[in-house]
Amino acid sequence: MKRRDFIKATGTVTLAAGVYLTILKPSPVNAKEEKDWLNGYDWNKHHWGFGIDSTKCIGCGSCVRACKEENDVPKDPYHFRCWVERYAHLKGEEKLKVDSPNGGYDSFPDKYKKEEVLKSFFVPKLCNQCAVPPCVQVCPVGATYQTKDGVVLVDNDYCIGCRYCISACPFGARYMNDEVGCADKCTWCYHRITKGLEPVCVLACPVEARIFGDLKDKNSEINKFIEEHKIIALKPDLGCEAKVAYIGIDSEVR
Amino acid sequence: MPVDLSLVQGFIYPNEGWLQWSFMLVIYPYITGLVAGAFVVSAFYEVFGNEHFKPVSRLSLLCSLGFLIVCVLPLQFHLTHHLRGLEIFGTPNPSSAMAGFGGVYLWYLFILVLEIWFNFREKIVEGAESKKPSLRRFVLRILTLGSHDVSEKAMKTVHKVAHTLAIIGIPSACFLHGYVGFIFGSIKANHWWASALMPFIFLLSAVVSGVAMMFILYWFCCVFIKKEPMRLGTVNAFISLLFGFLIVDLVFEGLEVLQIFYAHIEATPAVAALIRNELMGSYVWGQAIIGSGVPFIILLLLVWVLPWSKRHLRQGLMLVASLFVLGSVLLMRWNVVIGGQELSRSLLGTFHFSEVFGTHEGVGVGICLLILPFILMIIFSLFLDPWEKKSIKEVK
Repeated sequence: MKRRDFIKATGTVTLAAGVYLTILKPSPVNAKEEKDWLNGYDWNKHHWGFGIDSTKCIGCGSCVRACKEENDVPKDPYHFRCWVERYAHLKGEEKLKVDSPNGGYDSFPDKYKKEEVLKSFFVPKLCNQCAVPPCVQVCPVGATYQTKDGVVLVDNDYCIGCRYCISACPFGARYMNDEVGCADKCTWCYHRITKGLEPVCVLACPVEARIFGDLKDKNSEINKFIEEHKIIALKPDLGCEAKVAYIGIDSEVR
Repeated sequence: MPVDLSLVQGFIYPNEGWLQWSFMLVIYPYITGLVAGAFVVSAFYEVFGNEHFKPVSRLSLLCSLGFLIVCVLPLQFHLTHHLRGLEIFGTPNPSSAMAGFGGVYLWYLFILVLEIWFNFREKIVEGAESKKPSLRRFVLRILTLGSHDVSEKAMKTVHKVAHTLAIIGIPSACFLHGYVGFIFGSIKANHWWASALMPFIFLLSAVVSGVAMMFILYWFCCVFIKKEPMRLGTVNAFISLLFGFLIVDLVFEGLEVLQIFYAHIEATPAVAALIRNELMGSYVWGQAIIGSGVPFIILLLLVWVLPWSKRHLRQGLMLVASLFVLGSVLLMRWNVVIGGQELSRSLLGTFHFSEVFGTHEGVGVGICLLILPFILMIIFSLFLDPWEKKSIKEVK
């Protein structure tokens, strides 16, 4: 084969492979598969929102326990899809005291009973399903992705277990699920909300401190919550556009 | 790996009680740094024509290749799904800094292998034409790729291509390691990492560690293998190179910390607590005062106070400085990777992590991975002789 013929043949094969890979190759998830996977649920018709009324939370830990049961989260004190933090201003102390023993799973011991507490509140935490999620940005293989209804999910069939996403989450909302060897996180109970059910933490909360709903539904509870209160999101300076709307928390809460 | 929650100071998010990136992620940037640093040493002869680095130029290339082959192993050991690691090369996420590793790595591997092939071309053909049958001859015959032309005209072209490849290799090597710094520096969640200076710090410390390692290798080969004196010109060139890069490296590292404290951002008290509580030993004493201060003083003495000193003293002091530098850079990687994780993203607390020895991500495997490139280098040098022919004039 002459050099010119060799270059021609190599060029043709490269070009053909490029065209196939970029244009002709079908998308990993085509429309039919997407419909089958979601059992008829149309994620284009929803955009989920979450609110936390910190003034109502009593730190009972029901949400944490329900979440661990529902989502098979390890029961040790290192893995949480949702957890509760306690903030306390004590007399004579300049800084806030913060704790979250076992993520609030066992509720909170009254460790400040001998102190004079000026102010105290509980802050339930969960994945913020950021509009600009750093975990999605950094995942080297695209195993973490954003759904069209605004939830960030992990595909266990693709996750390689590098844990870059866990390091990149500013809210500490991710952990390594050692049973499947993949990163794991709160999905706002995606398996439930796509069937018209509430996330299990919302269901378990006895004081309705957690508000969930569809932002595309003008009459939803979450829209009323956002319209009726001055809400804040966590760490707005990082540009992640965290979507959980909080009321009743101090600026020290991060 | 779980951390001892009783050693937490202040408050950390509950999920932070499990350290995600362990010793494997410490030695990954260390090894890639040595790759880049070794190549830079070679480039000082190949590109800039500094004859003093000629004795170590080819050895640097083989060393760089050994470390480059091994540098993916820490990542592989770290992954929970080891076989899926190739997905980074096959289906990379274009928005991910880590996904860029596949492309950057393969590109640099391509350049380095080509550079070695052209650089050793004469020796490959010479070995392939040996009359005594051996495994070496068999391998070198394959490496000739069927061409035994080492005529003056052919070698002129070979040298031209090798020179061009070395020029391309410098930015490639720098990009490989600067990019590793970017992986950390771009994580805005972590205030100990998030810095635009991080790629430069990684790159400069990489060059520093590579220069130090190549000097130690040169010393080792002269004393134990070649059994000949080190060249004073080469020793002095190494001293100047290490001193120069160490100064710039220390300036950048100092600027990064100064920036955090002088700007007094929200994270400043938390970073101060991190240094005070967790990094006093490994960062302040280990990396800064002993690891950087001692070699800096030694090199300053060699350059300023003792420029007239004899070769034995100079090579001895330089050897000590190089060992300290290698230790300091390893501590720097530790302080970035482990230290950064010891700072809670809540900015309200820190925790202490004690490294374990025995696991597949532990120190034991790490030490093996740090030895492996040298074994590879020895194997390469059995086939590709990195030493030039002896010249009495040059030894003098």
